[in-house]
Amino acid sequence: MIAFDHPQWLWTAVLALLPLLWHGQRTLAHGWLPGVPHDPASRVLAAALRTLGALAVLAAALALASPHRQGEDIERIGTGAHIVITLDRSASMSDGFAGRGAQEGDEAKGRAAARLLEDFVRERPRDLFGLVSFSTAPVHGLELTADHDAVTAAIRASAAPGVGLTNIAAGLTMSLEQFKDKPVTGSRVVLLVSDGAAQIDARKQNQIRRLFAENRSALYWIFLRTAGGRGPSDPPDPEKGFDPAPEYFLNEYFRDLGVPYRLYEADTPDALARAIADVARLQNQPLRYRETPPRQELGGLFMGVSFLCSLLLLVARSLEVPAWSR
Amino acid sequence: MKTGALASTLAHGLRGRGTRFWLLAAATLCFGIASFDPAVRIEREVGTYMMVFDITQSMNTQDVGPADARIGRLDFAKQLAISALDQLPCGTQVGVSIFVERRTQPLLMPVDVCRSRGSLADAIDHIDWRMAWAADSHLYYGTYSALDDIRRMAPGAALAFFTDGHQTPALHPGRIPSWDGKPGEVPGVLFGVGGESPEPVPKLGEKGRIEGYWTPEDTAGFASAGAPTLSVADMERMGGDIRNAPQRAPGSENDHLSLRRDDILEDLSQRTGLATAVARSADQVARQLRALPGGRTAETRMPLRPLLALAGLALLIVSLAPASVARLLPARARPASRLTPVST
Repeated sequence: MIAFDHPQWLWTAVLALLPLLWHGQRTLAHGWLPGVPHDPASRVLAAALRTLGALAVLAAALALASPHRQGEDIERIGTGAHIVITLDRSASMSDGFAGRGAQEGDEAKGRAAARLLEDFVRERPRDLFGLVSFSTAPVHGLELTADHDAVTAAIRASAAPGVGLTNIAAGLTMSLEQFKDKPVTGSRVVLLVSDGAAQIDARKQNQIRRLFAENRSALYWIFLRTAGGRGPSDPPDPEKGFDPAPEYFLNEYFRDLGVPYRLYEADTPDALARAIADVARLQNQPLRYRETPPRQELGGLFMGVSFLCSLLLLVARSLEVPAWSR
Repeated sequence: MKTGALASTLAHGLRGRGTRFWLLAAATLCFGIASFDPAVRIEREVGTYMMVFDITQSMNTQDVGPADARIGRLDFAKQLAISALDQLPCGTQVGVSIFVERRTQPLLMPVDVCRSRGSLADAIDHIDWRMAWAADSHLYYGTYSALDDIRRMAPGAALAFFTDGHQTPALHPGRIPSWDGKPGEVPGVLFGVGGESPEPVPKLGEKGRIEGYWTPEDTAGFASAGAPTLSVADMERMGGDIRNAPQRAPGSENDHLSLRRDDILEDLSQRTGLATAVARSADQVARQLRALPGGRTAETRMPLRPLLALAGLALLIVSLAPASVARLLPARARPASRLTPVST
């Protein structure tokens, strides 16, 4: 189907009626018209010239409205994914990593994550990305989009120092909502990047489990370890008395979600880079997806039609007889 | 006299062909050129702007917009900002940020208003008071934070801050946070949003419905930011029942009501060199932003096809117009009389 960017210009198509009424041809006086023999060829030529004029105006009017054709989606097999990056922007993301040799002045976790995620986005030009960040409250960044300029801009914005707490449940819910009512045209991934965890209450747990199942999304959790902090793979130590170990229980909960899940613990920027590379590799599994072919501009074509019609009219005009020849 | 001869030959040929012929030829030329997508590159002065939205609860007060359909201040600011995007030339870059408590949080660093218009509108449209990580509103710190963000993360950008100027808790006079930057270093405009008479601030429920309004009892419980800490000796010297006297800033009894605080925006403007303006229309917002210093020149592509197609269309139709219509045209454009005697 042909669609128009500026349909208001289609009104100029009305002008195509004028050439049907006006011919603009040179007329020559003749003494006695009934004496002119009946000439069907001339009548056909006259009609053809008028039609050419109308066609030229019509095509120009259509060209003015910027016509284009959006092709049917084609099914392709390739590597494409819909990735909602779910970023922790709590205050602790401004701290450094845990790894050995960590010292003052090292790159903050938030900043390292932003830098590496930017590269990740740049290397995956065919994927759609969404962005959700969360601290005390979830913050909608971007809807799933192919506008990678905006995605990297949103990731760069997340390198600003964070504020508030780590409300993972709200962030995950908002991320999963992004898949709602959208066609499944690529593998779906929630890429959770956080440096802490929080307990998720039973009601929220059920809600998130249901959302994961409904939206058929995989989950990758990149956990950035803080110096002196614990990780998801450290079970709580009963010797130490009460130990909530939210990271450990959150990991257990994620493993039990019933969707593809992987955990990466990164305690240095290098480990984070390796984790992101691994996610990239996993997401390069072939998958079936529908791709919309780039739209086809038809303005030039219509303009060409106008040109041809106009040129033919010009030829006809140049053949006009200035006077009755003997 | 060679040129004269040439001119007369040309004039003769022109006369011989008739004006209609040349009009049609010009139309054909226009259509022909327009078939290839011609364009000119023009240089335009464009800027980079960081749009910051105050999302504290006073921004939910419904006292702006048309008199018969009042909407919330934040919704109004979002509408203005999105419409203003369309009035900034391509090549302009716009970023998006939110303010609550003492800090701004950038959501989107500056991107091109034309190429990323959809994403910008998406990000601005989703800004919501529920994104707040705290409920306080220390506008002075917020403005300084917005300026710091620009200095650190987007040098060269200008600030467009949409706020009502309402601060909670109110500040004690003389305890206003100072700024260590140079006034005017980062250009920008503080766009005041809100009405001129005090209105109750709604409390919104989870679904965004108004569930009540802030009351004096609620606001009386606020901490008093910047209250001087007095020693017992001070209190004794000052006499009276200082210990039990209210510690809140003078004039904060009506903190539960909110209006556009032009006085605070004015004071902020004095300290930071930012301009102030009341936000009324997208047109005005775009115009004021474009008037800010510190733009750069960007090349934009202006397609010529619409212009050529229109010209061709007009020429074609005029070339076909019957003499009765053509007579309405100015004398020089009138086609040669069709009854001109022809010498044979």
